[in-house]
Amino acid sequence: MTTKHPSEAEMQQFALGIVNCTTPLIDHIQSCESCRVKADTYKLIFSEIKVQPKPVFDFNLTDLVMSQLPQPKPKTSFENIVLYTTVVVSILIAGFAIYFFKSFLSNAYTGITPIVSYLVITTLASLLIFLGIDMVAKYNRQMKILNFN
Amino acid sequence: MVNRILKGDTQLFATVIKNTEGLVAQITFRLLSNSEDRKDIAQDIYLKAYRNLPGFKFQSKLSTWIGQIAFNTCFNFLEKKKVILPDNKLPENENSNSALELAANKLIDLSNNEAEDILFRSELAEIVQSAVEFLPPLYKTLINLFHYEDISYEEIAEITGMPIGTVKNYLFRARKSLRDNILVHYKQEEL
Repeated sequence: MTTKHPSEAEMQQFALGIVNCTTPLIDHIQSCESCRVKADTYKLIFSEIKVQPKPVFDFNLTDLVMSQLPQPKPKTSFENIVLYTTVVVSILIAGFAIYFFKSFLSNAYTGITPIVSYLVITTLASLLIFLGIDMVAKYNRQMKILNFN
Repeated sequence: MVNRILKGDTQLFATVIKNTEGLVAQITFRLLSNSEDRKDIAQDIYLKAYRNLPGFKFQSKLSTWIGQIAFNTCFNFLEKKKVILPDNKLPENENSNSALELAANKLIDLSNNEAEDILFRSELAEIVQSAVEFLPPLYKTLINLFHYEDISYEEIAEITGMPIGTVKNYLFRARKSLRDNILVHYKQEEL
């Protein structure tokens, strides 16, 4: 057991919970009357803080805020037409590109050595696995956050 | 929930408000003394949160993110009004140790007498409450977030935008100030 009195910070640490306190410090505080009183005072203050009345707004905050939120706009048929047209045009462009450049594409595939193709496949597979793991981890994290815990 | 709100289900935002209102009240009540200011700022906080919801990155709890908006909004408001969150130094109490012993011993002595103990406890609760109110706004906020709302150092650091070390240091000073305030009160009572 140490005879040196603990610092104010150590005293607060002890009062908050003895998890992070060293055994000599705990022994000292428990055996030293003056330190024990100091620690008990802190404990008492901390417990009294917890029983303070909770601050509450004297107006209905939810109603006030909700009345000011912009109303959601339903998607117009024009927006849907633009979206579908964009998708169809993109597919057509991609189709034409593949049709006109198919000879170049087949040459590009047959022209590469097996080692390069294995390298490309391995890289793509690794990337897909990494993205999959990251997606699952992100989803779990978001679910945990939204529980308000 | 956030995604559903973003897709247009604004009514769900009411649930977000109900779930986080306590934390926002804790921050606004500690930082702002005027009730009209609190009313305006509380609305402003949630309107900002709603507007910035698409930017919520799910890197923290939604409540911590709203707490951060609340703290920053109050802080900006105080800055605009030129109110300084003081780093108050309370007068050193020369006889603090004797007063401290007096207060703590009183509790120990009374522990065998239930009726007196209840009276002392209720008196102490009032003293602690007024001593907390006497603290500078920032200390008051940190004390309540940590001891009342049970928010961790890390989350308080996120809410306030301060490094964890600074949060711990401020909390240490806040607790010490609080204890000193209570001791001053006890000393005056005994005089």
